Amino acid sequence: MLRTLFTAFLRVACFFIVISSGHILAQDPPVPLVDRARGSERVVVGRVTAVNPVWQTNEFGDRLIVSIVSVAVDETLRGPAQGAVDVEVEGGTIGELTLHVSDLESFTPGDRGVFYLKRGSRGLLVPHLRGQGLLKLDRSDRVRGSNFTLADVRREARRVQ
Amino acid sequence: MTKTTTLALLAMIPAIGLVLSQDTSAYTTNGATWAQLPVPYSINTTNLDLPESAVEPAVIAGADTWATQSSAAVSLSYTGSSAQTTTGYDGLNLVVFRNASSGSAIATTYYWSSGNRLLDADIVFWDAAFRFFSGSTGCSGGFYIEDIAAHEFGHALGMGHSAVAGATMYPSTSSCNANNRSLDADDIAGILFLYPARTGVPGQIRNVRVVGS
Repeated sequence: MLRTLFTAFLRVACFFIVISSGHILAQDPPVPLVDRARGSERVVVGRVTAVNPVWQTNEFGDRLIVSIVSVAVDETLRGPAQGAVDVEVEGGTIGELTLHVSDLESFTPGDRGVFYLKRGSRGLLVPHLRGQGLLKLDRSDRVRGSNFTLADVRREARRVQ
Repeated sequence: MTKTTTLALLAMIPAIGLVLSQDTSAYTTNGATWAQLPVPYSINTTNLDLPESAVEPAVIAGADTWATQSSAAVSLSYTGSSAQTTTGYDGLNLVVFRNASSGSAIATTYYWSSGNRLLDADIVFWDAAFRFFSGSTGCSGGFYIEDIAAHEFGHALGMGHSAVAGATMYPSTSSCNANNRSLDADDIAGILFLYPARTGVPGQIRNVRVVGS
């Protein structure tokens, strides 16, 4: 009986995590946290230590500002443990010119977040599922603009191990 | 109702509470606006799903949402089709359908600013990952261009995402949703913040001064 109830609760909770996780994203269908983790080479929790914007031309021929976001890793939820990672994220500011990308978070040093990462075409780490792979955390470890917490992220990532 | 069902429903309450306790903050902007209006844009109508003749009116309808459904002093002007496929800070505001996917995004807006001025904006529909439809009927497992364009042109005008479910600028959508083409009060408040109401709007009389002879 208890087991049935617990299973029912888990199903309902997972449903709401999936629904609410769409909240922070660009206009797209939300991907469940567990699936974000499953498709990632690495999932890390960390704090941004530096943001270095550069001009880059992507595989489509778009000339864009891309930021190399350096992250000091506090916790590795998936993949090899490493003290720091560099993540390539479209958007950023060079001089007085800023590129905003609607489906991606922008980061500044001191920001804390969860980073679902995969290897990009240039060999650098990029957010898996773009905006759905970048979750900013507030001081109480809630994912900004959403209804879920770092504990939810951890739990869903563990399901993939 | 069985005891098991009742208990299962009770177990749902904390999860429902998560949703109900969501952040109620509304529209966001980065404060930047276009200095010159109307904002011109072109469309590369090449796509995988629709006749090119159907794409143009659908995108235009999405773009016009902001000017026609609010009194904001904002306007966009379609300047014709374009064969260009690349985006960037090049002075051309382009809507393009790309035979590629990008994570789970349906479309992405790249917009450029300096200080409080928007300078360039391009919209990419990720055509390989999603099927696009036009109009308001017939959609199945895809997305109407009108609704996606309305959201993306909101970004192109300086709007960020809104936490109000049902707003055009709400970050998530579901397939065949045809509600984003209708602005929510929150969207209207946001666009009016960026582009305050035009003077001379019917029903508004401002700064009237009666001078005696």
